[in-house]
Amino acid sequence: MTQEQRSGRPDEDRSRLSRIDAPLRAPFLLLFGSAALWLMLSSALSLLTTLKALPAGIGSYEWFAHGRLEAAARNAFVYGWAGNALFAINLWLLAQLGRFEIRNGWMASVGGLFWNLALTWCTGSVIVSGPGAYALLDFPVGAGPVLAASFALAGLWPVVAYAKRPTGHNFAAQWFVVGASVTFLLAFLLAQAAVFWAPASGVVQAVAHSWYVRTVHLLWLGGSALGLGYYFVSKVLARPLHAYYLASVAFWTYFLFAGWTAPASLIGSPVPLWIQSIGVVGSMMLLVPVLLIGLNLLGALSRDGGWFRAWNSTSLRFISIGIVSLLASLAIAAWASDRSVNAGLRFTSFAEGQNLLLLYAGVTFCVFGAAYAALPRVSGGRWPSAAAIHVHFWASTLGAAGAAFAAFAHPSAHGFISAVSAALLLIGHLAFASTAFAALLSGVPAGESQPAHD
Amino acid sequence: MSELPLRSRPLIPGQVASWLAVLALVGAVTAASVAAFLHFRTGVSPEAARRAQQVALRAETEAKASTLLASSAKNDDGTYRIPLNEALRIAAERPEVLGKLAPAVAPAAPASSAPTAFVPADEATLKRGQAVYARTCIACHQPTGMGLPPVFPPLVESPLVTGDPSLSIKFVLHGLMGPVTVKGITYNSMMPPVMGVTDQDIADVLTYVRQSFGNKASAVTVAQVKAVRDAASGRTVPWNTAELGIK
Repeated sequence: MTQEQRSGRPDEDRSRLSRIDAPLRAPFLLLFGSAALWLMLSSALSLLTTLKALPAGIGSYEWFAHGRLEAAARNAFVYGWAGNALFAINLWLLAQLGRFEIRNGWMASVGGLFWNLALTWCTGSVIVSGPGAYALLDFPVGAGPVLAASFALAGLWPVVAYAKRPTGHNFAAQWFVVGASVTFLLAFLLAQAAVFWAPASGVVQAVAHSWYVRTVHLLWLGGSALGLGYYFVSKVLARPLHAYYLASVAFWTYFLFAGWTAPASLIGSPVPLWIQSIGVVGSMMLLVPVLLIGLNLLGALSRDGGWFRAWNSTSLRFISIGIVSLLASLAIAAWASDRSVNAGLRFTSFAEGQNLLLLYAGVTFCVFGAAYAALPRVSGGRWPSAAAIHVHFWASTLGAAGAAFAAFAHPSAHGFISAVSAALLLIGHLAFASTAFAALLSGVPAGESQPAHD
Repeated sequence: MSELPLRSRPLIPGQVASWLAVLALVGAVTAASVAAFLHFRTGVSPEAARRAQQVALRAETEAKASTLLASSAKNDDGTYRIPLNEALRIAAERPEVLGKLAPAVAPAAPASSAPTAFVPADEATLKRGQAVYARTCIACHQPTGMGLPPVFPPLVESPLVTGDPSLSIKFVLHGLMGPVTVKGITYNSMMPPVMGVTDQDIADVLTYVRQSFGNKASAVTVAQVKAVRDAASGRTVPWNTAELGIK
């Protein structure tokens, strides 16, 4: 058996990989580096929000009011961490799958730069002058166009990588990422129009806003995470997915129904009943793609010791937990959209728990897993410390579990358990971010060295 | 994917052209959706428009009132009204004007509302009036004149009917809408204008109503009807109780 056969990849292909990865290095450094910084900022702000009483020194400033810190943490998490990280990871994934050599990576870098500048402005304004009425849209009005233009520059490159791929390959992972990237820009512009630029009556504003939030959560973040799941499960296990022919049905039903689940978050509020009912129906219909995606991914993981191998792979350990959490949060959302169930959950921290399961244990864990695989390949460096990875995994998992327990099961212990969980998350994120910076900066430019191990 | 020689490189590189195409696609879908949204967006509701109209009317009335209160004006008898604070200032500076003050003269009461002795109309007039009543009024106000509470008000013991006849003439000519309270019951129906009646018919039927069912009020003349009809000759909409000051 020759070296070529054992590596499973001819040398020619190996040089081709580095030609794909090398031009991604600069945008990846900028985007993922900023993402790691935003993650730490967001975890620090979240920790502050879980404290019942702030230290006397800062508690008296209105900048540290709970509402402002919470809004700033949410924006930093969704747009700063998840947004930046997905710009980088999605582009890497689709370049990888389509053998796409990007020649205008500077455009993604410029987009990322302006995205981060605008986001700094937005977060600052939330802290200084208070959040607006619409979560995830509480920016100064002028920041909307800047964010949209930056997204167009940084976030549409995965679509180009798909459209201009020299290979004819067509994988489910690509569909999810392309759909997610296109949908965000569309939803963002429409939400700006319907909520701010040409607002209609109050009911329409509220419905448009709920649709935007759900679209960002389920389609942009959730869709990208599912794309990562489809890629890594099959890649790490080195086997086809279970019932893969159903993946296209899963994709189309997911993108069809996810937006219609939005009014389920308005059940019990003064919007017309038929709009609320649409949300209930949408949430129930979303069980179809949830079942199919579960069949594809969890089916593949459940054969031939797949879970065991997932546990032993850094990337797949994070990603399999992420997929399970994401699917679980969607199933729980369908259950909680039932009117009688919802009546009992409406004024509790249940929705907070759902968001945590979806955005943190779901999306963020998938991004963590993908980052462990992608960073060394793009930067040519290595993750410096296995211990740091263990600290990161256990702190994040226990922190997420504690926060989910606090939100779902034990509201009376909310304060203490939440604070401990937030502290654990911050520790895990410090371990992740510091080693990620080391991995990003330690490598020599790819192309001069062999690509790192998988 | 071979590199093209420098001189034949296109102005817009292929990848950037694709990026522009993706952007254009997303932009076109967004523009179409926003256009659809603006087209189907609920405009200003009639209720909101009505409220805005009321707010504007109220602001206008208040502006007029404050202008009247704040400025001097000439009375009909050649004397002048001045604002109270100005009057106080003048009185403080020149106390001798207080001696020249004359009490304000109450305006003369309109002749029509002066009480008159009851003179029954002649038999023929009442007969003609009853015929008109049976043709037009009877469906709502009933043969007894008692109406059908709470939809149609009675014509009995109602100052609207037995008072100033010009009011009843207005109702018959143009109709009436808005809330009206008779004998403790508030009616909010609409009385349509009565079509196909001459001034003589109106005078007869109102005389009949004012002198039947226990009512004892003066007869109505053709001249009175004609005066009201001429005064409101351009009117096409029913009278409104608010406009007439009826409660």
